Amino acid sequence: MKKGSKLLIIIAVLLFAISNLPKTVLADDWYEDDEGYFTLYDEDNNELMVRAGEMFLDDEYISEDNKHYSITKVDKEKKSAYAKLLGEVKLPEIEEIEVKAAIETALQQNQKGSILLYCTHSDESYIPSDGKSSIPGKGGIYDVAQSFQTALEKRGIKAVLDKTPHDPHDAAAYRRSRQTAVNLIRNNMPVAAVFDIHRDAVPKKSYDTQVNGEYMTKIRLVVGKRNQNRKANEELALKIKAVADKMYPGLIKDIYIGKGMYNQELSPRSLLLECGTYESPKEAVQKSMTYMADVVLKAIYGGRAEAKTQEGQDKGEINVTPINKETNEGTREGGRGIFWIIGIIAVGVVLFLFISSGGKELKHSLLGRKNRR
Amino acid sequence: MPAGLTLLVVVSILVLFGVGHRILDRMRLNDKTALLFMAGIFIGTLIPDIRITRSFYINIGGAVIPIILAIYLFISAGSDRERIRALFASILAGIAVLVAGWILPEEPENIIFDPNYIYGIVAGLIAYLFGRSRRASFIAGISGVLLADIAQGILNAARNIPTVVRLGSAGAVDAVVISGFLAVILAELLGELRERLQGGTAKKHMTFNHAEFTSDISAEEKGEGTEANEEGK
Repeated sequence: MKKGSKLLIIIAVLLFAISNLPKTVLADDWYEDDEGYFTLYDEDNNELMVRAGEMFLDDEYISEDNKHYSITKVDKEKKSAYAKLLGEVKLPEIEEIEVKAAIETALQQNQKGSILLYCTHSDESYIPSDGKSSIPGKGGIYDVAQSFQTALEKRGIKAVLDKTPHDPHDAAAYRRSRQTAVNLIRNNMPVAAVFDIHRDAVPKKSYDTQVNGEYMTKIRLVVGKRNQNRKANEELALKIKAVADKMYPGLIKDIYIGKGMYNQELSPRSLLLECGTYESPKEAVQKSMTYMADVVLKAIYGGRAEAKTQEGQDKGEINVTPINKETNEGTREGGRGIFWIIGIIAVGVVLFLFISSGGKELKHSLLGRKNRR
Repeated sequence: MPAGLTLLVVVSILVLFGVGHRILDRMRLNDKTALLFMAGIFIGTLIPDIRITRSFYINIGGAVIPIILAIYLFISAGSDRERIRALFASILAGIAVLVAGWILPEEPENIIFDPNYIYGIVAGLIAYLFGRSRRASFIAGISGVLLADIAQGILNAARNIPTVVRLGSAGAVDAVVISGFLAVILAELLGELRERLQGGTAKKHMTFNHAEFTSDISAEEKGEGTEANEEGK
């Protein structure tokens, strides 16, 4: 190789590395910096939400009141993003029952598949209860995940929590947690859903809530956009929100559909849950997880449940269809995923053909050599 | 799981298998051997990890089979020079993967490529620079991630952080396998790109023999083309 081309490649590698370096300081790393998170505004400059993660063009956001936004402008310097309203999201329909239902237990439902839990950022902790925002290897996030697991088990669901730590809290954490997720899936087939339990790093007030008349914290659902399971995962997120809005309004904060994959390509029905923030009392987050177990039970396996107001007053009963019995949804989402894979392969093949044979030759090979005599 | 989602999972696995097979096919492996290794990786993925110590595990599909394949490619390398290059690239890729983990943003959305691919790209670029062959790229791709995982495990133990080292534990979809394959794809693309930039193949004095390029022109006669000639092996 000539020295010149070697130098060019080294420069390209360096540029590539530099372009990937963090340009903004985010609250997930810098808890002291209260500006360390992004704020999303609507077209009229009203604040929609904050997030301890960068926002990107075309990321999507479904607010607590089910308004669907798409990010159209990002100002990295000001850590601000602006979104346009796409419309209102139609959540899956939940049947409301007027007559008090007969006694039903979790065991009466057709509960197929385990619910699998793990914590990619195993150091994440809650300052008011744990004393620190980060405890390597044994963060307070495990207590929150444990509460969720115990609550699910009590409701008759096979729930497995893998407590493997993935420290340090760096760019390779998702690579290490991927191994945990695959191990969980491998050892607990069939799988109903996979949840990666996190906590956010924004001010406490944005997660404070009242559910069933009690103080607790909200839960944000995060869906990764760039993978073949996106639609299936989004469907689960919408279903969970639809059920929660009836059973325990105020519990689900919102749904963020972002650029990352978060290992959600490993299995359809995978979600990342942001449970409270580093400023939330852990006990309040643990209480939310107990309510979340009720919601997940109904959203995935279906069944009857009591509807409540945010203050805890009865609002009749609901009947939830299991997620796998939603009309044709599974087939449609699966079809979209397959289409997504085929698209990626087609792009890869065309790119390779273009590089290996050149644009002109590629055109000839695709369209035929019309002018050749 | 509904039929649509089951089909989606099956298609994902088949595509991964097919792409993996095509990549192995590019590395001096015949069709059957490539198929055998791919089958080994996928079947090995289904087998639980082997426990070496209390905090050290290894997976057959995600680490043992790729290591065997790397050793096979290493032994069957065309020259000592290629072997030394592969070794050198592996160590450098290990350091680069470890350091990339520390310096890249921790949230996946902040990295242009997903964390599972970034290590393959880093290892692939280094392997291509120093190994300049598909085989050396594969060796560096997989050993880079394995070495980085071992090094991180040692660093965590030294800091008393209770983590476990799981080598290739995600099997066929582990960063080890992805990085190996990605490094080969990258070597192939960079090789093709360079060939186009320099206006044609540098192998015009060579003949394709026993799945590799050979030449009876002496090194002195080859002149500047020597380095480029090893490309594509």
